[in-house]
Amino acid sequence: MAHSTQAFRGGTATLNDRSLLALVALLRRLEEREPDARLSAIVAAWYRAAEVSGPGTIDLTLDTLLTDDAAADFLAERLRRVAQEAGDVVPGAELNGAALPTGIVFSDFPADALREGIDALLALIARDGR
Amino acid sequence: MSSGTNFAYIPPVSTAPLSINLPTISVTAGPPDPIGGGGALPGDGSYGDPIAGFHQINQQFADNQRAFSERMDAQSAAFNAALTEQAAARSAQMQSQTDANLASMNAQRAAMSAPPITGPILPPSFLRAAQAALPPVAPGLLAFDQAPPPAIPAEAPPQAPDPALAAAGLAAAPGATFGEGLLAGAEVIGAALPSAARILPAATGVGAFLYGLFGNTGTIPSDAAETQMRLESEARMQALGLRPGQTVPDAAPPEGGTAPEAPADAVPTLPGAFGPVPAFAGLDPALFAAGGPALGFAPLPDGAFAPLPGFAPAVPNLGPEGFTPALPGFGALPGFAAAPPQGLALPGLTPAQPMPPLPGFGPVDPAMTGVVTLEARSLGDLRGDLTDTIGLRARQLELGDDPALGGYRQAEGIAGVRLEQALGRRIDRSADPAYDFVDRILGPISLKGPLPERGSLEGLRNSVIRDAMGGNTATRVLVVDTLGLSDQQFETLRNDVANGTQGTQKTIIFLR
Repeated sequence: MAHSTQAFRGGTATLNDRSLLALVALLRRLEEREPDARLSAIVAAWYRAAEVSGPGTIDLTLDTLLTDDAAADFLAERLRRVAQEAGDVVPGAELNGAALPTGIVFSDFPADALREGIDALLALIARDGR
Repeated sequence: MSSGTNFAYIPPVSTAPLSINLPTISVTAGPPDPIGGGGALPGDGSYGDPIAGFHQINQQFADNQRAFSERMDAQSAAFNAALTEQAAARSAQMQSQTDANLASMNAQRAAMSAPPITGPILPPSFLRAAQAALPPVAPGLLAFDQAPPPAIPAEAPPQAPDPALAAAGLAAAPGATFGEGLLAGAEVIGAALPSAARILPAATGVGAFLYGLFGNTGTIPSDAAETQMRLESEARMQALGLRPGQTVPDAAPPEGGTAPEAPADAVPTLPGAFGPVPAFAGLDPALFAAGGPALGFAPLPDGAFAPLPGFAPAVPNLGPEGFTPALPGFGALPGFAAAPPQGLALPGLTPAQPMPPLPGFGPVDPAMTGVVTLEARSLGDLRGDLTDTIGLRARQLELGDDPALGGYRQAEGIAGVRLEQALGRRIDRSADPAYDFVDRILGPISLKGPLPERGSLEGLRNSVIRDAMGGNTATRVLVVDTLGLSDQQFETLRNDVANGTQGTQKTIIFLR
């Protein structure tokens, strides 16, 4: 699977596309359960990013979305929630049900790979690196 | 019993005088009946007027009827409203259920079956797939253009490969033009080779080394031509008194006579052959006169070829993975190797001197001791295109499937097949999630693109630059698939990337 490099405040992190897209799908599920305007804006922006991207070219536009520390902390907290709730395997049907506009058909997704991507993203955006 | 009859009647004897009490009936003028209008004249409007009473009763009846109608109307309206409301709720419920069912079915279908062929369709034929010409490359950049191929002279002298490309494992095969060795450009081969297959002179040890390109392997006759040939064959056999499957009898001389001379156009004695099998009708009969049997075919007088008994036709298996000759001793070529312009460009090859490994194509089976170059050409007809398309589609599904994390991504399969066409050899899908493909020459490969229909060119550019400038340390080769970009977009992208990746240690390959 291709990898997309994310940039934030001068740093970069390279994430596997499948992990990244699985994360977007699960964030949408979380936003559906617990509606939040800030999370809705992030999820909508990442859906658009997925729609216009090919393999290895997904740009999460973190610098645009996370304009202050509070926003970064908010996203970091949601990312940790997703990592905690993932279990061992994320069912492929749940990911496919999120209707990501990428031409991807998910199989059951190993949660370890998802957490690995989340950790890379957290290291990029979390101020204290947690 | 009495007098012999059952029905004797004896009348009773009267003991008292007969009397009847009749009721008394009197007729008098009774008191006026207020209801019946007693005492009043009809129509005088008085209290006892029976007509006025009728009108009153009629009015009461009409009032009651009106009130009843109003009540019924109100009840009907209420009932209708309730029904309408229930129907709307039921309809919404059923629509919701239907939508949910359809969504579930679509999700299940998508998860269970391969995605349909959508989006960019790969070139239908390998023979028209990749091209030879390479544009000038910037340092650190390689690009494969699929512009119309240049005319290649029949006896083009070998060219020294570009050192930069050679270092990247893209060296040309000896005796071939650069593009031939670099790309699986069957169109190049098709343009350079004559239509007939050629065979090495016997002095060089003609044997059985099929050396070519996957694709269609022979002329498939039209239905009409096949019917015509079959009819002609049957006529000849009928003239000889043969049945299908029979062979021409041995010409044993009859006693006291001479052997009958077989007709010039008699079907040769090929057990099991029923008429000409035009598997390679377009090939040179002289070729198969010498080398055909080695391939499992025998020449027929009319220029066609029939499979020898016991042989599977030496038809290479079609497919992007290269061909696998059916004859024993033939090893599968790991990838396409450039064929020489005249079908033979490996001077000095003898049976004792096996084919040397070609750059980028791995070792060749040493059991192969000769060269027969078959032109693998696409007929350009529907069947040829379909065969190629099916093969490409199968390969696309393989390369789009991620063995590391599971799942399928169509765009990656497309890019993988296009990269194979450009390199002229197979690549492998990476089992390591850190990178995408593995080429035995280039090593681990990162992939960028192709973009979807409404893709962001800026996003593609930024991602390439980020990856090349240290964002991804897992690979040293970056492949950028520019499928779908216009010429102007492609040039813009390439220039921007060249300017933005100064000093990169990576090799960036553009697929055009």
